[in-house]
Order: sequence, then structure tokens, then C-alpha cells
Amino acid sequence: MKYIKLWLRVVVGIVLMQSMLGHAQAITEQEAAAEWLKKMANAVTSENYQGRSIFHNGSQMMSLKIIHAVIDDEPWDRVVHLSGEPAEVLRKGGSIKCLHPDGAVELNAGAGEVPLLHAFSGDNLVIPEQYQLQVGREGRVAGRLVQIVNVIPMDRARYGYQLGIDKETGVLLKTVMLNRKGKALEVFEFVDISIDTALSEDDFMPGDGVQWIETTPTQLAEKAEGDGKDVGWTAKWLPQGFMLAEHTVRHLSGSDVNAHVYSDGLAAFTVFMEKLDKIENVEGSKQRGATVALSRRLPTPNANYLVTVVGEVPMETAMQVAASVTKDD
Amino acid sequence: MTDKAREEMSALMDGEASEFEVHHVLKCSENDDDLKATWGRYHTLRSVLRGEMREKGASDTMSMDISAAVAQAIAEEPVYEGAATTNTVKVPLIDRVLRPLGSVAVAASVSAMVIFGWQSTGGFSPQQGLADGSVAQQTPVVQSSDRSVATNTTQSYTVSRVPNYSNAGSSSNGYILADDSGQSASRSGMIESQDIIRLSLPQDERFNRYILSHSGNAALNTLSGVMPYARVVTLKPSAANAK
Repeated sequence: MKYIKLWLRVVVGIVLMQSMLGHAQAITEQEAAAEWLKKMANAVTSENYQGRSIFHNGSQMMSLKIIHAVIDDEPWDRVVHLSGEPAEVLRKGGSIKCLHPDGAVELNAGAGEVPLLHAFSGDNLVIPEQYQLQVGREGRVAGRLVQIVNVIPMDRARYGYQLGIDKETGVLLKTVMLNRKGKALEVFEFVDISIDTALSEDDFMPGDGVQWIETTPTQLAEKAEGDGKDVGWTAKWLPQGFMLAEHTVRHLSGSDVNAHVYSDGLAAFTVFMEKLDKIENVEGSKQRGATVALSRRLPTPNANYLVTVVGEVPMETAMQVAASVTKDD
Repeated sequence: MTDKAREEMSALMDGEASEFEVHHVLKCSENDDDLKATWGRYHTLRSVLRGEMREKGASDTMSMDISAAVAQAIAEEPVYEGAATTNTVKVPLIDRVLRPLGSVAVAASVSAMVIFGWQSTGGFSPQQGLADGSVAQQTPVVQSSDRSVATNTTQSYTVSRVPNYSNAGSSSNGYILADDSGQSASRSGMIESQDIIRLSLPQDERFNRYILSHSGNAALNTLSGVMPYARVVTLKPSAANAK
């Protein structure tokens, strides 16, 4: 009897030690992966590069020219669409514009700086607890050695990422967005890149066939507080970790639309609320790559509203959020 | 009878009608004898086209309408509640005990599947709406279990392992219930299906505007690199110019 007890203690002790070791191992792996992500975040504000890449979203494939430089201490990006219709996206610090042959669209419709998705920028790296990091194998992208880092979601409410980070400089060379089953929804990958090239503002002039039009952000959006245009409503269910990042009234094609932006630090979705003048046949859903959009009519005794959820989240998440939206009394 | 109703009925016969159209057709056919007759004619036509009539060899099946007979049979059916309260018919004890159990078992098997799907997938954890602070918690999990009766019946399920990320040896992935439709069971248990009706979108422009408006936020996600910019470019220029 005595021996049995002793044996039991030994066995329990071994099991405990093993589990602790395993735990410690998981933590060091998280830290190692976090170091890679820090290097990646630093590269955004320190490296200049230009190259060509491909983007595939499951149904479409396109080729892009990418120019990235740090100008006036701000990251600038120019993404030139090489296939199909001429189009460019220009980012100068916080200002992002999409240029087309006959006009430009201001993309950062938010009012001012958005305290959002900054988990991977700046000095402090905060990994949302809904994700787990894992250092993957080594690989090769655009002829360069990369370290694969996996960002794995801990629940079904969000997508995962597989990142290919340049081992030498930390530049992000490959991004894959994955659904829960490990299926790639979107793939972005450089095919050719030259890092540390000399770039100036001239390299960010819009190319042939597109124009740059100055717009001021205030034309597009304003803070929603206390202007009477605010539609009081509540999403009664949010996936864990998602918090309200921004609340604005946006002017889209002449109508005022209430927009709430929610983020878990990495992924984001926007809930739009628009008053319908008449009952329209507008419900439906759409998925392209990792982006889903879903509309649902919300009837109230006095008026009809249209709830639209757009974001890089699984359809289930968008559906549940849309279904939980209720109008405040 | 409108052309629209006829079109929707045709879609229903082909199994292509949306939920909304099914409801509409059923509602219309309640009062529209013309529509009912068309429904019968379409089926006769289809049977002829498929050569089903010839096999049966009887011409009278062409005009057979059992709907009236069914309606009459239902009308003549004694009301169940009346029989129970007056207690004129003696139901054997074993029947009285077993019959409710049978219906519970069916309900339980449905609800158990819903709940099983939730538990095994880990489900979503509810979180309060942070926008306004004091919102009552309401989760889809609760909604689905409202419909359930008892889940103590033993049921066997087919469970399939979800493949891991190709490179990730993570243990965080759960199990999903394999069902006939190929969708995960949690999906069916989450949401009132009539809440979201899938239609072809006449308002594609509005959708694109929303997507564009959202993409500005997504573009600030460092983790995706320039991927959000690539997404934006895939939007139709006509939508972009709508402003």
C-alpha cells in the first residue's frame, strides 16, 4: 500500500513537470514569434523597397507594383495595378486614396486617427489574446529566405494569418489569410523585390491614366456625437475581444450612414446603419476573398433601417453580429 | 395571377426558388384558384415530359386531384384535444407513457444536434455590446437551446476532425459535426434563417460603397501588409466613382 502511494506521487510529479515544461516551451515559442513580428513592424518604418507581387483572392488573380518608402518619418505606399483596369492606391502616412482613371476615392473615411489595428505598430507589440503565435518553417519568397510565422485564431470568430518575413530585413514578403480549415482565402506574395533602394517623393507621383484629387477628410465623415444624425442602435452580440474602435457618421452617395468600427486588434469589421426611405429589396450577402458583406433589413414601428456588416471575418461572425443589432428606443 | 407569381412557381418546381419566393407563392396560392390549377398543369406537363405517364398506362391519373380528398379527410379527423378531455377512449398505460417520449426523442435529437455542434466547436463566447455598456447579454447559444426539450437521450453522431492549418500543429482547432448539407451544425443553430434572405442584389452599388468605406480601416492593419490595398483595387471603378 505504501509503495503504491509512493509510486502515485512519482507519477503525478512526472506528469506535472512534463506539463510545465510543455507550457514553458509554448511561451518561448510565442516570444520567438513575437520577436519576428516586432522586426516586421520595425521594417515598415525603416526600410525602403520596391518590387512586383501577385494577389489572389480565390476567384481573381492580379499583378501589382509595390513601392514603399519612409518619407518625413511616415510610411508611404504606392500600389499600382498592373493588370485589368488602371488603378492605384496611394498611402501617405494616415491618408489613403484609391485612384481611378476618372477620379479618386478617399479611403480613410474615419474622422482623424483611428485607434485601431495598432497591435503591430509602434514600439509596444500587443498580441490580442484571441490569437496564438507559432514559428513555422523557413521558406523562400522572391528568391529570398523568409521565416514563416503563423498567427492562429483561438476561436471560430476570426481568420488566421501565415506570414513570410524576410530573414535579413524583416520586410513582410508574403501574407496568406486562412479560414478555420486552413484554406487560403487570400494570398499576397512578392515575386521580385529590391530592398534598400533610394526612393523619393517623385516615385509616388500617380502614373499614366489615373488622377490625384485633393479631398479633405472632414467632407467625408464626422464624429457622431450629438449632432442629431446619430441613429441609436446596439449590437447585442460581439465576438470575444472585439471592441468599438470608432463611431462616425459617413456621407456615402448623399445619405448619412452611421458607421461603427469594431476590432480585436488585428481584424476589423464595420457595421453600417442606414435609414431606408422606402422598403427596398436590399438584403443579401457577398463574399470576396476574406471580405464579407451582409445586409439585413431592420424594421421598427416608425421606419425601416438597413444593417450592413462588412469585414475580414467569417460569414458566421458577420451574420451573428447583424442578427443581434437592435434599434434603441 | 401575375406573371411574377407564375415565374416564382416555376422556380419553386425547379427547386430554385428562394425562401422569400416560396413564402410568396404559398401565400398567393391560398386564394388564387387559377394559380393552383397552373401548379397542377405544370406537374402534369412535367410528368408527361419525363415519360412517367406512359409507364403507369392509366389516363385517369392525368386528372387526379387528391388535394380535395386530403382536405376532406383532415376536416373529418376528430379533434385530438376533445378526445383527451372527455376521456371516452381508454388509452393503454404503456401508450400514454411512450407516446410523449417518442415526440421528445425527436425534438431532443434535433436540439441535441444543435447543442452538440455548439459545444464541440467551442462556440462563441458572448460579449456585451461595448458601445453602450449596460446591454443585457444575449447570445445565439441561448436562443438555440430555448427550442430544445431534453438532451439526455443517447445519440450517436458522426464527428469529423477538422484539418489543422497546414503548417500549424496547434491544438486549438476543434471538431465540427458532419451533417448532410456539408455545412457545420453550428451554422444551422446560430441564427433564425428567415432573418437573412439570400437574394440576388439589385443594390450592388450600395454594397460596394460600404465595402470601400470599410477598407480604409482594414488598410491600417500592419499584419496584412499592402493586402487591403490589393483588395480595394478589385472593386469596380463604377462603384468607386459613385461618390
